Amino acid sequence: MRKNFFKKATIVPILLFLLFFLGQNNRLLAQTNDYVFTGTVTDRASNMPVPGVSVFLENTNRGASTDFDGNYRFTANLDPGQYTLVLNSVAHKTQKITITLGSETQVQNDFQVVEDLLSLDEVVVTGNVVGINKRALGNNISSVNAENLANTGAVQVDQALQGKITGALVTQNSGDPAGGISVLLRGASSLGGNQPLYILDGVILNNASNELVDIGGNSQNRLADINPDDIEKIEVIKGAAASAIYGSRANNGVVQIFTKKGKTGPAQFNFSSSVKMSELRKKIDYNTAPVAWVDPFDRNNLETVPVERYDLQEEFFDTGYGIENALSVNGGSEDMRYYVSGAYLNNEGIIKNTDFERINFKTNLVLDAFDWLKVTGDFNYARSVSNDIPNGGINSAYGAITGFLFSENSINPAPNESGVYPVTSLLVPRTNPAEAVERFEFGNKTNRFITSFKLDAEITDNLSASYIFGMDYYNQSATAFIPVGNTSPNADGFARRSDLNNFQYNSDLNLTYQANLNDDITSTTTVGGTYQFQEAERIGIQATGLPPVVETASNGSILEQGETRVPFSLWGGFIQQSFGFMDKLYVNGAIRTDGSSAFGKDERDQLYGKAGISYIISEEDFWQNGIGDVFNTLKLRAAWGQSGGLNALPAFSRFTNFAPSSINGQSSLLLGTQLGNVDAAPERQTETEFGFDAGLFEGRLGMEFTYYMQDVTDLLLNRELAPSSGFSSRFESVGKLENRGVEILLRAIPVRTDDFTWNLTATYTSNENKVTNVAGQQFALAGSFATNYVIEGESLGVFYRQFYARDENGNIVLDNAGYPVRGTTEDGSSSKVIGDPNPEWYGSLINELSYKNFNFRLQFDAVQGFDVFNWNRRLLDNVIFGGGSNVGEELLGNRPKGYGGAQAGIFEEFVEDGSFVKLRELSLSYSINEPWEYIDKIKLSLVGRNLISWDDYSGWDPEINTGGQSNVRGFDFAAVPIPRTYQFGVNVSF
Amino acid sequence: MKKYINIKILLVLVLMVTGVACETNFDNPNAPTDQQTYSSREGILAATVGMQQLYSTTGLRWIIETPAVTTREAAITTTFQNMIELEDGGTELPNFNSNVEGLWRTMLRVIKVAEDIEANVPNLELEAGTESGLVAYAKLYKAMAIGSLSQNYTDVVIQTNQENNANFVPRMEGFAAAISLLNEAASLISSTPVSAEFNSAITQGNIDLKNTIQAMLARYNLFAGNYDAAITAAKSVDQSSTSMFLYDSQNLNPIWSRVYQNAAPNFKPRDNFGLPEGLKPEENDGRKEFYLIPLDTVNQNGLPIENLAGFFDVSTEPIPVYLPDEMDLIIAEANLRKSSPDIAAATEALNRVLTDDTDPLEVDAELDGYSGPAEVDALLDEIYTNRRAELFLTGMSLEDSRRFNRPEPSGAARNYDEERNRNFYPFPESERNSNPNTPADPAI
Repeated sequence: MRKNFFKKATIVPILLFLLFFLGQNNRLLAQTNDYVFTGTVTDRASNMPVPGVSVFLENTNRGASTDFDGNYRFTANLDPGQYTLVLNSVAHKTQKITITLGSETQVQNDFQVVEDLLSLDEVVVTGNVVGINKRALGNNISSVNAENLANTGAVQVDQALQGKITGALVTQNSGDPAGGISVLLRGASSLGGNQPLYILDGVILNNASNELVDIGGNSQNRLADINPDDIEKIEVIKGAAASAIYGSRANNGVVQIFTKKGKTGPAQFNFSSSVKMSELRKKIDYNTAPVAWVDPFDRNNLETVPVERYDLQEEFFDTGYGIENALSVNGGSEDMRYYVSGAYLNNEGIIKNTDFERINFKTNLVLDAFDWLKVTGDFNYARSVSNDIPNGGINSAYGAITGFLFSENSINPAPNESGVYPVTSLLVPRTNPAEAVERFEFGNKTNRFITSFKLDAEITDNLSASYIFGMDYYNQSATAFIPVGNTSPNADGFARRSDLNNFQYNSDLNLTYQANLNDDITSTTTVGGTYQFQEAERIGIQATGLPPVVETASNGSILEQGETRVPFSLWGGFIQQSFGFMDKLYVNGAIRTDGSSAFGKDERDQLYGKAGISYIISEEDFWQNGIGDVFNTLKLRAAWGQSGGLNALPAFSRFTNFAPSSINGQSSLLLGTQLGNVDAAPERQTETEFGFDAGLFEGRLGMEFTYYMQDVTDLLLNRELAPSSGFSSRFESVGKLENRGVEILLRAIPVRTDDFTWNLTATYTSNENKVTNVAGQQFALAGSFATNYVIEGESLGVFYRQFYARDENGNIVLDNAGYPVRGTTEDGSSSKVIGDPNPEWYGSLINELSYKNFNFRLQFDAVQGFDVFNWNRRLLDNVIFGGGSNVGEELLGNRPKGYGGAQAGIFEEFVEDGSFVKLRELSLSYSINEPWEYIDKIKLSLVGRNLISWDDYSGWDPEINTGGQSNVRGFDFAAVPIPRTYQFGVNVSF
Repeated sequence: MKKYINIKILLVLVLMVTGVACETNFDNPNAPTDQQTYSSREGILAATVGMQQLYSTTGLRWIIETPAVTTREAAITTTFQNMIELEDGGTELPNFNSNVEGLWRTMLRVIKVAEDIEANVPNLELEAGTESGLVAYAKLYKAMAIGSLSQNYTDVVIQTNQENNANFVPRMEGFAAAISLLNEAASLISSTPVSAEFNSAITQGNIDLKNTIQAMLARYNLFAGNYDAAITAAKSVDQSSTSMFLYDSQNLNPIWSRVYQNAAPNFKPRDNFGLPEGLKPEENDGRKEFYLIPLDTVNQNGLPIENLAGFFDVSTEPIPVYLPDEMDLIIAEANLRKSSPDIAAATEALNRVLTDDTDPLEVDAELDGYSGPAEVDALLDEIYTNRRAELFLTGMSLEDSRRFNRPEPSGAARNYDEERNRNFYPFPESERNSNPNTPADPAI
């Protein structure tokens, strides 16, 4: 097993490391002094002190952040000589002062900073390994800092990102308390997974959506384990132009999460506590007719009987309450800084008896072992426990909302005196929803460790090295239990237990060489190597035919069990070179090569490249002397790059595999339905983007504009084979798709006085996705009841089914009896494209008003020009089931009996415009500074989330997707709508 | 001093980086590849059991359920679209219907495994009787798969092709191919009798290979119109011997799981085996009691239905590979259809079925002997009734309905009074999408 001990991917960086390390000259020991650096940072416009700005000596790790009063102080033992003192902040322009240290050891320097809405001088890491000034980047990068993630009412990291950045369509796919969230960066780029690569402080995170038990079109994505409170900043790069150095995992973009670190100084405590309330935002119409058909099936039999109607939504929706508490402590000495936190969340869902509980602990230690070596240890533990109620489900029919859709609501859903629930779905066995929420017990438990060990070494003044070993391990354990004797399709009871152990680590070594080639030109060279390993092991057992009371699966009469182990590794190396010319012109390029164990030997070694250029034209003299006073900053940028995708090829799918089985005690091997293909290769994305960043009116108005073109080739298609091959399909690298889009970010400060500030941020993203080649085939996406399709020339996942026959004026044709009929296309097909779940554009508008100690925030999110398939209505409106409002209309004689039944075969009817504008966040907070001794600050906040939605959708909420985090989009079947949430919180710093 | 520390750190670092070995190749611990399977004795034995498992579980579901709905042996009790389409029938039956697709696809999977077993067995060092057993067994399953296709589609594929380019032959050539495979299998095991190893590893005494080959020869020779050969083969079957597919809790009886599992029936049997007025079995026909449990209700399309018994009302109940009485019904029918009909021989064989009260599978009609006119047409009607009753839910009803010239379907959908709503199934969409050799669909 260890025969690849010294694989070249590892050994090369090690040798490099050795070389540089041993070649290092010991610095000359000379006379040094202890200098004390102090100063105050204020805003040039408002004269207010600016907290949280870092001031440090360039090329050293000596520095400090400003406190609440804008003061900084740090000490350093240094040789006398020339140094550069740098001020760096996300929201302000970087400033540098050259200082000469002599015999005076008290060094005072004050700064006046200028606002930089574009954060042009922000130091970013993602896509570059080492921190790089944003001005040097040829690509767009989005970042969100802690303030914008706090007080949003969100309990999950990705949820908090909604509407905050351009080019990211963040969708909460289910309103369950840990409902799955998908993040689509610049459009889909694979028929496999489309979720970005997540990195937490250098550790590659697992964000799988494991459906260990079927709780119905919803699975948690494992980012739910992360405590948003610990996050300092999130950086997002969206395509290959920026992400090439992440190689074969980067096709869907990269989201890098940085957690909070300790700051030198006395212990700072931060305690926050909040209470939450979630409720259903809107009910849907249901059948209220006081009569029912005697024979629902016969269109001509109009005989009715009087009945009482029930609102079954009352049976499974309920107001949920939650609490969230977090405590963190940070501080440190000169040589060691710490950040320690603990958090607890318990949040109920709007479906009865659902909740999500999360416990987080985090410890981060940064140790300056020597003045040239920094050691960082990071330890995160999370326990996430959810109590779930199965709601919908593509594969399982036992869900509560599924039951609601099939129920005749003239039956009282309440149990009888012996506690037996009546059957409410008369035609097919579906669960009485009242029973599902009371008697079914489903849940997920996850215990997770994310730890890392990091070394940063300044080997010489020019050469630095960093090594990180990061590990992410979790066990997710899910259980399902339906007691024997119930109204579900599993009347004999059902139990399932499934466990997943996911272990993964990454071991990365990077070397960076920075030098000034001459006075004008700077050069940065980075060489890196990585090895990544993952091992996902699953085991599951399920049973039907349960004895009474027993909840464990091992006791059922009919058992199914399964176990799989999937090891995976990826190894790669890259070299990146960038040059800067007079702080205004930058070029950079990188090459990455890597391989992955998922592919055959001949397809493993992939080469990816990237190049970028950025030109800050406003730094030119002619600009500064001309329009520079009004048009302060203009940066032009362009970037090109390639990256790979390997999500589409499941492990070992390059082989023709037999499925092990057994029958009657004889072990057997069943020929798989998948024909192997050792030539399958990683998907490859080539992206070109260009744009500009502009700042006007003394930094009061900023704009970022980006246009991008993504072309994905070698798209892995699980290509259908003629059954006469003996197989169903084979993976082939033959497809192509493309994304074209525009991203615009606008930031402005329309009003700013001493007491009052109005900040405005607007984002706009449009994306056009097109599948350009699927080798002449079209096929349905799994998990959509064959509604979402992949069709050449169309967007990924368009709705493709039956449509209305229409006359030349476009009116629906009715048959002689007055019912609509299906249409036929010119080439005789009864199906055509009837809708597109991909939005034409999406954006947000964020207003932030602060007056003295009050802060008011208002965020609107818009997603426009997309369709939702309302499968719920297709069932509700069908007279053979009986619970929908249109069945009521038929009963009242307002439309022909069975009209909804006729429509059920014409899918076009249920494609609805999902366009919405939502009042996503509304928050009001009040801060009290130093109310008592030892208390620095108290902040009270009132937050609302998803308060109002303006849309024309007839279901609960158009922002929903039963397809979860897959490529199936805009599919609404028995999914839990996203709740309206209110939150009251207190935050105390001391 | 500093240098010393540097070296120490370096050592730690190097140890850490190298302590993590960089594995780049992993064997699949979950499943063997085709190469691994076919290159070992254990692999090929397990693949052979797998071939039987595929045929007897998924395969039998499609083989039985699909024509049963088309010819009204069964009526649907579900809202699943594939079943609705099947019962609606007519020209509207889409070529992507999952039964139309499933029957085609599963049989071709069986054919592919059978081909691979046949091709790879000679490469292994096996006992002669094991080798002959495995090859004969593969030929048997390939023949049964081709035969099942030929009963339901106008043209069939008898040799798989991984380049999406398989050739089609008319269904009669399909039967001919099945017959020659079975003849090869029969001579193989007669010249080299199967080994004890084969019996213990594969059939385990549940399937009588020799009798099954002869029974299938009788069946397909009848369908192919080779009446003398059918009679010879049928007579050579030992009717006291039975061959059964066995099930367990992991591999449920495929019809039980469609009718009983989760109390969510997809279909139920029709009253009187779905036979029309005039052809109904007699009131006291023992096979009604064997297969049906009276139920006084109709399905969603108004078709009277009963509850299912027979070989299908217990979750792990065995299903016979063929029924012994099928041999007498073949003898009876072939004697009537051959160029010079032998009415006496036919009546005699028919009476053995009608008066049967000692059937090894307990499918006993326990009726009086045939008393109708001693004429070919009248006897054929009686044989048709008996085939529907005796061979209920064996997947032969569509073939029988056509062969006995039962009324042609009109082509209109939702005409639930028709005895059968299709003559043949359309070729599956997935076949047409990729294989340019796919013939035109039948008109109905």
